[in-house]
Amino acid sequence: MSPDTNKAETTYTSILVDGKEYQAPLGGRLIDFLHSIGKEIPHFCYHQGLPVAASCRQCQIESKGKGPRPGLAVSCRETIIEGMEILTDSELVRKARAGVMEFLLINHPLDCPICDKAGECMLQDTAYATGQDRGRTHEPRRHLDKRKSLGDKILLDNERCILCTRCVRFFEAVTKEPQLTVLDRGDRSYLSTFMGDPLHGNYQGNIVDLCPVGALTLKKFRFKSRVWFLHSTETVCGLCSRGCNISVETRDNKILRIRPRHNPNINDFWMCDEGRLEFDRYNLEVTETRLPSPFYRDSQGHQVPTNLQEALDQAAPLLLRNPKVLFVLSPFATIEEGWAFKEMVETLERFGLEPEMGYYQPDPNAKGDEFLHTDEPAPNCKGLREEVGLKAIPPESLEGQDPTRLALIGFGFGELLGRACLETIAAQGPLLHLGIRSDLFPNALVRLAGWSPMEKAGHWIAACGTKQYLRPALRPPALSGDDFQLLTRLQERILTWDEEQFEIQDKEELGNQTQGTEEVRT
Amino acid sequence: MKVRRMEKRLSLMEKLAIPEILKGLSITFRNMFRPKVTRQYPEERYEAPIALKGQPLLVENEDGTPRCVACSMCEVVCPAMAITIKAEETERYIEREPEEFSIDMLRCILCGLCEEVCPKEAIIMSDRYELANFTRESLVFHKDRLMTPIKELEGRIRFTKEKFDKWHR
Repeated sequence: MSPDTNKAETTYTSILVDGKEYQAPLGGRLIDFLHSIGKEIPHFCYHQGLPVAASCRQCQIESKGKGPRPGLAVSCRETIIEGMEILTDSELVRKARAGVMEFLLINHPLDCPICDKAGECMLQDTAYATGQDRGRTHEPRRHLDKRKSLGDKILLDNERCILCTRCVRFFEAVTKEPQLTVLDRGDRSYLSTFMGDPLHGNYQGNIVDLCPVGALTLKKFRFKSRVWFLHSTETVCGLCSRGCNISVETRDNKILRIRPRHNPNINDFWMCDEGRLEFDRYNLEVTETRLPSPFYRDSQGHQVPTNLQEALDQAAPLLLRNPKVLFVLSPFATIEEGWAFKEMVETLERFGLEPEMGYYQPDPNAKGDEFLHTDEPAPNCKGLREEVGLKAIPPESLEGQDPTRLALIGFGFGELLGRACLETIAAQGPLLHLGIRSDLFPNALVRLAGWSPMEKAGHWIAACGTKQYLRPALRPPALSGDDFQLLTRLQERILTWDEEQFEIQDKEELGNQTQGTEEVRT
Repeated sequence: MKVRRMEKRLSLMEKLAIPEILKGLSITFRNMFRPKVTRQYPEERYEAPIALKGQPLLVENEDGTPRCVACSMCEVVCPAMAITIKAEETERYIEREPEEFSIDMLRCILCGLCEEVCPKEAIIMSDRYELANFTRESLVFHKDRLMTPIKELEGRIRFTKEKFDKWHR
């Protein structure tokens, strides 16, 4: 967040940029204003979310007349004052920037073909735009540690580092826990952690996004793909109720990387490592861990793959036969699915049954941190509670339940439920499960193949109350269905259930359980 | 429709036929002593000039390591999308090499853009021009078939160096 956006009132003053007059916010930062009017000012050390260091000297502009002082000035450090006159593309400025580039490239290894940053590297872009195409030095380049591990998430390549100190400032100013520093002096300086310790904390991944060159790289993404092959989708993170805005980058229908998007009200420029790295739960292999199609359990106890229509034919009598089914919706469900879920259960009430319903409220003892991660490890509890009006079902009340009267709807039970709780439910199987994992409930009577949050569209409500839109980033398997659609189809199937067919199939088992049904129907 | 036939009226010499046969044989005998322009192909092989763009191959260094760093420039530039690359990490100083590198020779149009774009001179258009086989699978060349010792490709590497240097001057 730039300082001028926080002010209640902004006064404007007219300044001259390249001979043209503009109304600029008085006291605002010059480089932000120049970017906002479409001037491209190359920069490395400056970042809107960090304090200014002005160490790279790449954003120089020429000041004339009534300015800070005549001559070259660093635009990230200048505030806008009255009567300013600046040039952003004069001969002097171009020469100064090319000179800075030449100094930066003296010891840069130029291993762009190997470097994972190539294609989105600020140094590479600026070298094309303002630098020279060949060097003038004959001395050997400086050799440093190329593969220095900083903990289990990040790898540091000291040769590529241009000492912009963005990562150093991130730990100082954003997480308020300094972990990195520049050691030694002059041309021998290099980046290091204190005492060479590994990095710790839940926000290390952000320094990889901040790094303008490929010095800091994510171990999980290392050499996975060139960045220009990635397809990016703007969506919302679901691993806590903060609702960080993210862009999901995929290739060949696999998530390879997740990066934060700027949203000043929710996550600013940052996101936690949990949301950034734990995307394997969405990258399931079809038929190995991913449920490829609906399944039902036949009379011998075998799981039989089937199509959606047959699966619904199996599910509808199960729900109509059991008077007290407990329907639990996952807090990963969207608001739209919440409504469809509620309507589906209310349809059963019209048949005289007494189903219970609610959404699963995850462990209240889970603790977030002071920065971004909230206490709720699920994205849409607030939306289901306040917008849809569902009851919260805490883990304790789920543990004592008879598994055969449970219907678990939605993605995420494998991650949210406790291990013991999962095992007791899976031993006898829930009545109905709608999810994406095939290994989760092998004894369920009916399993419907749903979609993960990375595959569907819908809305979540973040903890701060903002309703946010989800976009599909991955293609789901062919025989699975949108959770919303499955719930409405199930409701439709319950409503159109043929009484006669019902009786022929299980005449003896019906017993007293469907008495209420008859009352309504006749 | 009326058809007009244009027939050449033969002279006496032509009607006799024997002088004409001798005339024809004189051409035959004359050519028997000229240098041959055809060759007995499978037995006599064609020595390709250095400029020929044949089967693209990967260069293997003297120590057996690939020159390729899996930067995917050829994968991007390939107009026929014949190249597939997957990178992996190595313990060498050059920390990246292809785990999987395949060229689909059914797709390859031998344009030579991959050779031109390669920053490491690692993919080289060789002089191998016999690219026919009986199955589709056998024409997808994987890394083990593409890796060629640098000695076999030295001439072409020198040639491309001079050529591209001339262009970029």
